[in-house]
Amino acid sequence: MRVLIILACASEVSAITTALTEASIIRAKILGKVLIMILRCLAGALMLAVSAAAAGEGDAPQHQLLVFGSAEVARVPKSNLTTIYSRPEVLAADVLFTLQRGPIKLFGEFELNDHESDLERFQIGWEPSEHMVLWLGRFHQPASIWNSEYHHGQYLQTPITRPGVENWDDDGGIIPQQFTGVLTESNWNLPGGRVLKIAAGGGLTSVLTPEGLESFDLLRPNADRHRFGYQARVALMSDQLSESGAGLVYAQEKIAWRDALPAPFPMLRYVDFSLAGAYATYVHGSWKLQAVGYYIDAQLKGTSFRDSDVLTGYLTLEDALTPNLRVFVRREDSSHLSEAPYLRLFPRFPTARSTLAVRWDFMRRHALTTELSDTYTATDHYFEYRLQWSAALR
Amino acid sequence: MECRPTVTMRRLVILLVLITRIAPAIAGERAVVLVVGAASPVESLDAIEVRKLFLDFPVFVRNQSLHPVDNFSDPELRDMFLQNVIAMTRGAYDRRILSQVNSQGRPLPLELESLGSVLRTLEADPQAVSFAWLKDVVGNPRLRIVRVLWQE
Repeated sequence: MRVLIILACASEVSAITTALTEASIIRAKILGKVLIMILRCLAGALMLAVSAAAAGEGDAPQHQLLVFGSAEVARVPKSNLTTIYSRPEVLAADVLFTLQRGPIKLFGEFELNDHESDLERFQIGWEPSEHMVLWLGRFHQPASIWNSEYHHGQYLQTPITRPGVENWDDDGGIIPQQFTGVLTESNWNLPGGRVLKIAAGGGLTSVLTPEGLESFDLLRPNADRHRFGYQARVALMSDQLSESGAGLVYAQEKIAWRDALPAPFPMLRYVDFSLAGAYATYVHGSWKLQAVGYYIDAQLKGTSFRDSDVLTGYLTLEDALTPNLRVFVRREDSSHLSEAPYLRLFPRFPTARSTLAVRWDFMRRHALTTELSDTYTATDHYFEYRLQWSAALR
Repeated sequence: MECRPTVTMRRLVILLVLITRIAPAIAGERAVVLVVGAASPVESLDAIEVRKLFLDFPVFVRNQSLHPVDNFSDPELRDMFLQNVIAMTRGAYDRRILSQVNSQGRPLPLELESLGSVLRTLEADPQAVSFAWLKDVVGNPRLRIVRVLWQE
């Protein structure tokens, strides 16, 4: 009888496995087709953009090449470097190129540093009016507040580091920061001079690997396991040109695991990831105050673990002591960490951190910054000192 | 004693000439104007649109986007423009327009080091818009002054 039950169970498991395998094959085929479709759309849009730009009359083409260069050294006394995300030296060049003629734009960003090179963004855009632009390509997701503002422009941000929750996929980030698909950005003038800005996008999101999140790479396209996600941001700005405003963000992604499954979750199929956030920025003279909060809900599908519900956020304040000298402080914190099995996949995530930075703009578009931070992870506590040169070169 | 009124009249005439001929020139030297080429579609631009344009936001006139030209020929002129029209320091302005390239893929305003190249660009590109001292552009038939941006 037992043997019969075991056989029946085995046959049931086998049937489920076969069904799952078939489902995986079908999904892989669909994703393969989607990838081909995206690449064809990109190629078509590129040709359309070039022909439209060539045919454009009365509007001279404009182009721009800009390089954000930076070099930094970091020191972490008395800490095991394998448990934290810190590189002792970073040398980076972030190359931006843009071409615009009439309503058609082509925009790209290639980052080259001492540990990777990547086509970070590649976007073909149509700007039918000053209020709207529609993009096709690879983007930074609009639900990230910090990255939507600074992207990889190290020279543009006052501190050297970004908040841990905004880290890039390959720097231990816990939120997928890039996707390949469609993005629309628009702004609407409201009574009283206020402006409503809306950004919404959707496309292939990142996968999880033993090294962390990995986004879809346009130069080495491999759609295996990449699934869909969508993101949106709504912001109300105090006026057209002001940096002061407040907004809400939302993202929903399905993040599959690529390669051998992680030891803590051997049955993991994918992560059903949702993010909701709110932020506010207030700029007055040389003062800038920003508060950002995210609620993350990550369900580990295929496992019996409970949903991960995490609240995380940061508060920043900066001011210019003199026109060329800025001081910056930031506090990052998180809660409900013990109830978040998702974060076990990112043991080096900084759960709390205080940062102090001073930046000196010693000549036009060149700055020197020094930074001190006090960081807690799930298993470690360390201080970090950094010194950086950053520049914008054209 | 007889020639006193004549001398007074002569002095008055000289004073009037000074006031009517030289004073405007002195004032003009301290006025920053918005300037375009003679063939430009730009008839007027209000203060907000000027700020938008030079902060690298898209500004359209007759369905054509305007091209801001940053005049670097005189550091004092540029400082006056940034302080009184854009209301920003040099560093803050730089970071703001670099952000526009970084986030929107928008080309930076064209930066020209000499007055001659600024004027040639305005003459050649009807969508180009720049700023200059009044004294440098007044009376040039190939240019048009759109408005006075700042006057001492």
